[in-house]
Amino acid sequence: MTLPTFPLETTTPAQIALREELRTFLADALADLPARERARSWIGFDADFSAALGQRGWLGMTLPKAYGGHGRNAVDRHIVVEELLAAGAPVAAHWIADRQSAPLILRHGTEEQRKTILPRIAAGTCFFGIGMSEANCGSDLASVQTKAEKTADGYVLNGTKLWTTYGHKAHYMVVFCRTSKSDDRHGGFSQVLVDMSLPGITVSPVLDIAGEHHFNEVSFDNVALPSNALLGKEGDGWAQVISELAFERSGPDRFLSSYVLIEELLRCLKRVSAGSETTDLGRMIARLMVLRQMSLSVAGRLARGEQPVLAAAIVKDLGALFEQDVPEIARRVLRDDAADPEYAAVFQRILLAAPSFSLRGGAREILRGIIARGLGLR
Amino acid sequence: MDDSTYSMVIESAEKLFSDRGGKDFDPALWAAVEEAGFPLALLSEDRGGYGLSAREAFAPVRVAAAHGVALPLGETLLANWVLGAADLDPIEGPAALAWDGKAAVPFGRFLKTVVQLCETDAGLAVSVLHPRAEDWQPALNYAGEARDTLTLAAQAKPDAHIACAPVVLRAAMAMLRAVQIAGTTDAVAAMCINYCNEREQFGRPLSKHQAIQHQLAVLATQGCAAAVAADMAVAAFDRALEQSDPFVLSAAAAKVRAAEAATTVSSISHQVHGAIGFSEEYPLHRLTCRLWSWRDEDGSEAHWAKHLADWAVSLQSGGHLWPALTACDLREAT
Repeated sequence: MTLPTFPLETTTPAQIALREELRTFLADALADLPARERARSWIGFDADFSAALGQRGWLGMTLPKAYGGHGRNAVDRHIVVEELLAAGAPVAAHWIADRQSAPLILRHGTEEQRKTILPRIAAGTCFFGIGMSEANCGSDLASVQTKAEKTADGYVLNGTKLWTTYGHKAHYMVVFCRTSKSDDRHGGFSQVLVDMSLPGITVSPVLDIAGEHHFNEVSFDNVALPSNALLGKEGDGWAQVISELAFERSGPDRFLSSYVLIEELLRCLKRVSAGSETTDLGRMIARLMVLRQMSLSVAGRLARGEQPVLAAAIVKDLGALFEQDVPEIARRVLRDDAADPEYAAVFQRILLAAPSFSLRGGAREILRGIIARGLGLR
Repeated sequence: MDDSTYSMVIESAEKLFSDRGGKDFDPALWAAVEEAGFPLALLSEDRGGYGLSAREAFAPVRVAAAHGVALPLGETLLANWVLGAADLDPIEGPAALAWDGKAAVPFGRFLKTVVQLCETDAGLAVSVLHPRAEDWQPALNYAGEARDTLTLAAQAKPDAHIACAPVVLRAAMAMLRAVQIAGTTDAVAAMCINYCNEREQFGRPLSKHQAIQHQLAVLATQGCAAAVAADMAVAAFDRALEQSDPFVLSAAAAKVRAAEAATTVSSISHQVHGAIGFSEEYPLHRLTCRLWSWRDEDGSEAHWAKHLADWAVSLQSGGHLWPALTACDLREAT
């Protein structure tokens, strides 16, 4: 076969029970959260909710028990994430820490870093920001200017990161920066673990097109980092950041960002007879059913210790197209007189969020480059 | 999952079907297919079959499609499966299911047996027919495969009845088309990648142009989606009689999604091939014409999408789609 394969996952009785547990908890915990708030998907921030998830053992699921985790596999975690997103739960507080910072620290961190930070992530009380993009550095991550220079007792960090989601609430940021000059375009980079309470850090809001504040600009002005702030090996930053990005792709967050609108659309369609555009609705459901199986397949491969970089890029590319199509399909399917104010509010929130779906976590063009490389074309 | 039988089946199908692609039914190749036992794969051993899982049994169908082979293999597999469900003996020779009425039957004039289905008050009636050449009204699909109409009326007294909703069998045929589309899109991807690596324009291979790379990346994502769609339906087919809802929904989604992929894949494949791909001598059209036929046959996207849409709008359980979607997930055998 020429194309990458996606072996199907089989659900166990324990996993079906796990979904049921989540649904019972969420029905109660989110009872008073209106659809327009659920529509924020993984941008909705609620620290108390994250702590409640932590108490129930639904964060840090794949971390070893020795670090406060639960020793579960990637498929179990995938199921929890799917249920949270399908319900429109406010997961932003713990999102980045649980999805990518924890596995990064587990893989590359020192024993001290693991022992001090991972249990707090699993408890849902320690939040992270991503320190990759800068004003002049988006898809071209190798053009990063932020610098950590060695001093007698650690590093001094200078530079400015941009588009830092919930940087204003984060306890730590993993900052991708230059630690030495190198002739290799991908050489001389490292990742440092920055305690956001250190002096010299300024976090300024950047509003999105809906006027909402989740992005930030984070400036580091001669921030003195202790030597134990280094995450992983000095000079290995590029390889580390690429593996970190692999955790950021292919999960259910890559096709469920618009999911609340689908349920709202169906709610409105049940009150009136559906228009003639049932083909669009059925096609949307077919795409979703297949995407779920593709994403679940990648989780299964992660659970078996594989690194399915190509498959993850494929799921993210298809998933972003799907998420962005959902509001457009909803426009075609629902008659004007069938919408109510709650539907309209959900629709607007998702319409205005949609452009980001094919940008965050790797722009569409970058993903297609990765796929082309996987096909042996580059 | 134990993959040894699956790999063995794929390997023997590859040996059989490599370089055997063509437009017309090939009797010699059919004899070899029967020799290999492929048409009986779904039946239990006490019915004279091999008791393979649907994933294993439909694997040769996918390989045959990838090689552009014109054979009613999947049709015969399903015809024998229906005979088994009706407690009738399996048949030898090419066969297909046919609905009573004026529907086109795949490879009609080449079939030895037609398993005719008729909705009656007593359930789904099954009649085993052996039409003669003059019983067929000939027609072809876009790829030149026979799609003939049977002019014989249903038997007054059917051979058996089966306890199976008609939609399950219609979904099984839709699943078969999705499997064929999946096999074909993979072969189209291979043809495109090879061509773009060899063909030079502007002083370098087409594959080194970013515009082409991105087109092929899109083609690949669609091909992968078609494959997963087909796999999903085939996996659910193992319990199609006991748990018909998840199977019918999975097959409906598979047909819709594979058809959508077929559209994009055929379009991009012709675009990157340029004029040569549009010529009769170049083998691309054997694959793309089949994609265009199969996406319409046994229920177009519009047909099965309506099935999914009606289901979603009619759901009662708490009013939500989500639990109904996860209820279709493949479950561990208990």
